[in-house]
Amino acid sequence: MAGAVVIPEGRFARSGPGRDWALRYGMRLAVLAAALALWQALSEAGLIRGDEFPSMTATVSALGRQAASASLWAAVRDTLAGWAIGLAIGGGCAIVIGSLAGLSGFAYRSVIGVVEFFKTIPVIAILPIALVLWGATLTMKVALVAFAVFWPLVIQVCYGVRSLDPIARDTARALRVRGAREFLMVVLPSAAPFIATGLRVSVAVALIVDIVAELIGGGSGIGAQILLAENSGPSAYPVMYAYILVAGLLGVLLAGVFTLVEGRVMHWHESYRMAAGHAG
Amino acid sequence: MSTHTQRRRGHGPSEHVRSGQRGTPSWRAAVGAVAVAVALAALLTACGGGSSSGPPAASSPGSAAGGGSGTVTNITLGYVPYSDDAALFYAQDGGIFRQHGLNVTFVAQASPVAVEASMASGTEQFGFVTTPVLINLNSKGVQVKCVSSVDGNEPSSDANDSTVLVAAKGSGITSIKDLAGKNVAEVQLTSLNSLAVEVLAKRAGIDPASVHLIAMPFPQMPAALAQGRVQAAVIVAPFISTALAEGAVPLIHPNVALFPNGTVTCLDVMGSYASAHAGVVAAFRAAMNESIAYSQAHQSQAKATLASHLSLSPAQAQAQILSTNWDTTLNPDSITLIEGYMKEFGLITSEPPAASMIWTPGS
Repeated sequence: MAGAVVIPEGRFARSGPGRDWALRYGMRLAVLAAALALWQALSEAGLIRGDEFPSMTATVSALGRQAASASLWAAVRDTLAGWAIGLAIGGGCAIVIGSLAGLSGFAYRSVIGVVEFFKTIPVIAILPIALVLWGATLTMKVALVAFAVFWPLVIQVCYGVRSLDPIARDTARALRVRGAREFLMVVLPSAAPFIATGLRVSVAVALIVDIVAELIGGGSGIGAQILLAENSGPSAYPVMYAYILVAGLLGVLLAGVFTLVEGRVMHWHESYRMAAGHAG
Repeated sequence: MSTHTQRRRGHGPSEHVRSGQRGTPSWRAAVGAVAVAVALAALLTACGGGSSSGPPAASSPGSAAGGGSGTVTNITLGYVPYSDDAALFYAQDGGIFRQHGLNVTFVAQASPVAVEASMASGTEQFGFVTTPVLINLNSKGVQVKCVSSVDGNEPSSDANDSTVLVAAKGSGITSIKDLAGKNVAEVQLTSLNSLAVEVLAKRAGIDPASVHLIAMPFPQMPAALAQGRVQAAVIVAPFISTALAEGAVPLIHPNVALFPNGTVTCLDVMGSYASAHAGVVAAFRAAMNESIAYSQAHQSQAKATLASHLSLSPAQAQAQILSTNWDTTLNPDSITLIEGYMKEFGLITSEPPAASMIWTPGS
């Protein structure tokens, strides 16, 4: 079971001194530009047919047109709503229930089997049930996102709480730090890197599930726009891939924001401090 | 304090990354799920004494039959976006729904099964359905009823139809007889299109089971045909133009051959909604019939709605073929015919009468 746990690692491991900053970001941009250029070259060489997969320039110009219209921003807003509410509910429940289950060995052993079982259920399999219960609505999206996020995260929280260093625990007890105070000041901080890592994975999972729910189940958002463009035929493929690009960019953006917040919130933890320290 | 982290290092994070999107849903199973859930919901409602039941979106039900009588009823409609929705889009954009006292919210969905599931939840009152899904639900005891056509019945000539069985270039297939042992792409198994191929195969004197039906979305069919992954496909406009450009050969228009002037799709409601809100349903039917008649007379105006509702340019919207004979009379004989084929090929076990699947005022 320990195999299913992600080990928190420092987020700020840097390979070189600060002056390499420009070089590193320059390289990233260069790789991105090379990928886009390769895409365009393949289209122009005729290796990818335009009516099956649009060229980079056609897709990017479709993206530009969509960005100028209200529909793209409405879609992004609706997708983000499902993502944020689902993540908050699923994540919140996972932290509370995971902590409770992690604190008691008996509770942990009782629930872990069920949790492992539910964790492996593909969300797509319960989508029809969610549709029957809530229709193609925000509620349906939120429920699926919360479900998808909850199970992996609850295990992560359990392990985090259970991984409390015995010395820290004994020290706290020797200092008569107990009960709620012990939980908030000793257990939770110790579990925090595990929770942070679990949340980082959840940020991406929630976005994927949200968009898939829109695409297959219905409900407004980026997924619905992909469906509309797909059903409109080959002439609308640039629009379809433009929305797929938007989904990807949104994923990168949300992961970036999370990493930033994580660094701010977790700066005190030694796994983060250590990594930052190596950077010199 | 870092010992505990060190101890478990080496287990990759990838095990924890579960997108939850693997596999595709079995919509056949989903129809079953809808049936079970509706039965369950009915049971729960019955146990709960029926308090606060009824769709939340419908205000002042039953009073909107008279056009422009002042009251407006809010309804939500689930639809599958494609070009045959032109008359439906016109009913919205041209203000016909509004004139009949209906304020309609449109929800785009990927398949009729997703639409019906949303109707079962009560969040949608009207929805797009194909006749096989309509029959399947009714045969499982879920009462859903056709209220109106989407844009009229199936045409009786190939020129007005856009669903074609094509053979791949170089496949050697020249007639339906040659499909034995070949792979045929279908948008969904147990759909009208796949049923039609089975019926046609049997009529041509070959074993329907010898035709390998493969589920595949329309956009992927031209490439699959060109690469030889399938030797034939039932494909629709606008994707068919790509396939034909690559040398695919049209064999037959299955729906024209089997169900001319038939009702192969419709806009439907749950039976329980129809009996509780007969006035709204009547208003909806009147609005759709008016819009279809107007669209027939003003086709370029109807097609123009496709530009804003689908991702098409105005020119592309005008180039679409609307697959219809513009006849708004729902055809029970064609429903009975399709039902008979579904029974024959083992898709359903009971055959409820076609008349029970078409809404009539006062039923």
